[in-house]
Amino acid sequence: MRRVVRSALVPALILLASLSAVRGVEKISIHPIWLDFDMENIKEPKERKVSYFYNFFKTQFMEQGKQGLDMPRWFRAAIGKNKRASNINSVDEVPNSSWYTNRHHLRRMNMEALVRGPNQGEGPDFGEGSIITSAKMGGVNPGFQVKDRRGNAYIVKFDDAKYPELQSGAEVIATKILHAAGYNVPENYLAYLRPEDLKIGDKVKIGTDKPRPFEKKDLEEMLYSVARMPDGRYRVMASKFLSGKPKGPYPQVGVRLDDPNDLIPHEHRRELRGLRVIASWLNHWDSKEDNALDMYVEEEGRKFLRHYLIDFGDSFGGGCTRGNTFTAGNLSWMAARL
Amino acid sequence: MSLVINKIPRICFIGMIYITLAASGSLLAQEGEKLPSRAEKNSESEQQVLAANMQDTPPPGEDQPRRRIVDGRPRFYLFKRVINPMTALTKFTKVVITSSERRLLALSEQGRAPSAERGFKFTLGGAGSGSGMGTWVRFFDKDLFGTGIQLEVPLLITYKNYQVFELNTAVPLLGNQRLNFNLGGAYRSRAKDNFFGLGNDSIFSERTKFRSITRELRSGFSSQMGEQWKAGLHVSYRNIGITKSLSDSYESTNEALDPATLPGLARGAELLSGIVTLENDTKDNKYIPTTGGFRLLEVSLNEGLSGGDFSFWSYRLDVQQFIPLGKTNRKILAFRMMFETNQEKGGSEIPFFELTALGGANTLRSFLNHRYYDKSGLAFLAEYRYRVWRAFDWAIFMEQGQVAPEPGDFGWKRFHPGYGFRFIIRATPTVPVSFDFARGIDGWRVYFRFKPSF
Repeated sequence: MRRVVRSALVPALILLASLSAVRGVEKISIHPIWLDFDMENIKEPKERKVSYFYNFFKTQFMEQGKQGLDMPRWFRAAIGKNKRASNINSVDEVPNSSWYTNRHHLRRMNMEALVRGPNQGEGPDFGEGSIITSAKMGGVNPGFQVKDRRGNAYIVKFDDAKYPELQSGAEVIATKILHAAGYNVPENYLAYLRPEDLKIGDKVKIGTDKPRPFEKKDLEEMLYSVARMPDGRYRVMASKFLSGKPKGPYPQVGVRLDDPNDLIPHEHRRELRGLRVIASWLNHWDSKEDNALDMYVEEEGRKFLRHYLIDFGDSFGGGCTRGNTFTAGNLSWMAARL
Repeated sequence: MSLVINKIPRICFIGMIYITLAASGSLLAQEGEKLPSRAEKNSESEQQVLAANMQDTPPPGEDQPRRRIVDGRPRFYLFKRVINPMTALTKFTKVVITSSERRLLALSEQGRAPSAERGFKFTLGGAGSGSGMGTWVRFFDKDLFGTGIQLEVPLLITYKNYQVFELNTAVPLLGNQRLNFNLGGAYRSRAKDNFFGLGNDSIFSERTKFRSITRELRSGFSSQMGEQWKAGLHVSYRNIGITKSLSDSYESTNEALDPATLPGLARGAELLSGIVTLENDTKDNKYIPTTGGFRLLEVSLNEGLSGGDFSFWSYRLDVQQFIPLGKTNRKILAFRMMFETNQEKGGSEIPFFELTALGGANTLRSFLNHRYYDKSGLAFLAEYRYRVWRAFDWAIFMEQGQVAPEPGDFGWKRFHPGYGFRFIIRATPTVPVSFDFARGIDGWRVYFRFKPSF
């Protein structure tokens, strides 16, 4: 009996393993699909938390290890038949979706549209009465969240005192380019503010370990090391809050299991694979999992996840607050399969 | 069939079948829509088809049929991910890393956020060469009772039972650390330090161990002169006792050797010392610099109060230099020279535990801790470091050292050479961790160090 079970076990395992390599069904279409409608109504998913150090470890070691153990991948590489992306239409193009919108390369945008980018309104008004609603002191980029006089909320980032206009300029320009390329990006503006015009909100706290109230002296300390204009104003990059509820970043490999619209493993999405090329061109080396964001939006009565890219201050050599290190642009944060 | 299975190892057989079938199955990829063949793709007609389709297609956002480019998620995709051996390791790692990330983020924030005025700090470290690792528990108060006096109480017990209990105070006399008055005390127990005998040719097999207990009171002045210069003038009283070591593996020094041949072995020593230090630090980073250097000169006069006729001068020089190769500071040459000599006054003696000791993590990594003892010592180290990426360096090094009764007795042929390699990981921006593998005359040594001094 044991022999029968054992002898049946091996073929069963082989069968299962081979079936795992058969992915999906080929569709044949006369008219190419230009809209992959992944915007059906879904239940509100939980916010996906990311861990900075875990993400580093996962993408640099674990995913590389998984790739190394992916035997079908080795076989495809050996015969020179790499796996095509799964979401391309019959003319080898990417249809519009909640991830991507065909813009400049299909229908040329004029200069005004390219310069405007994703920005819809006039931009922030950080005059007197603007309120700081949240602050981040440490880490690579200190900054805070501000509600301007029009009531719009922005994330405000500064330039380092040694490199004025570097990161803010880099981020805004990269935003325009990525928007023209088709990606969902936030509205990033260059703006100016005076610290005396800012009021600190009542519930603003800082510190990961032991949160404490954010005070004026903390604001002064934060502004001490950032670039200041001769007239006393500070030039900032103000990123308007995206509409909807933030649900954390999408995983760079695999699918988001709590999103029924998410059918295609992300490493097999053409627009995300192509993002590596564009990110290389922009030297957007900090293109990691943390710098993506899924927003649970409501459009036309349907609620679904729309997928954004955020945080491009490292582009064009902008990196961090010290200019770029020599490794930037040579070592990718992208998941192994891209 | 069963004959074939019996002859080929089963794992290889399963693997071969898996690769073959999976490979053939992989050709049936989830591709969305059928793509034109290569011939069609290259033709003009294909370009015309594309242009025509673009004209026919409504602009993005306008009314388009609601359909999906794929029917569903890839079959068995999740199963394939689950059965991958790395998945279990990834899940385990996630638990470990996310549970400690909060603390790591707080540590990295401390570099920018205002640090606390008082509290407790916990860090990993040791009590000098050969002491092993332990957790430093430091109580600190930067402004004791609002007087401006700084107080620090570091406590340490390592896994080798080396103990350090200190109390340090600094009274600022001039602002910005320009002049401080220091007062402090310490209790230090070094449980099992090596002693191989005196001289450059001490024999490995004559290894013994001893325990030293030091009680110290220290006061003086320290001054920070600009960003790079520091000076100190201190007076120290030390009561040092030598006892049986806490090691069972080796004979105790005071049992193996005749106390008459080794000053200080029988009764320890009470020493009153006057110490002058001058330090110049131009390194760009405290622990893993890429440019600059470090120079330390220390001169002390030590008078014995009891335990023996002890009276000697001690001179110590430590010079480090870091030279970047190229513009990116990725390749670094690091050099270090250490020189120390102890000169007795008149016919007095020097306690053996105050002699120069070479060997260990802080001097010559290729040798056991305190491998060579004598009145004078000289060591050279050269290291080539290469930064693989922002948080990871590797390095190879060569070093040599010797001890001698007098500086005039040093000779080129007396050097003991060693070599090795190391990996340096920046666990956080301010906490490097070094794994050193060194080989000398006595074999391989391995070190694991937090915040290495070189």
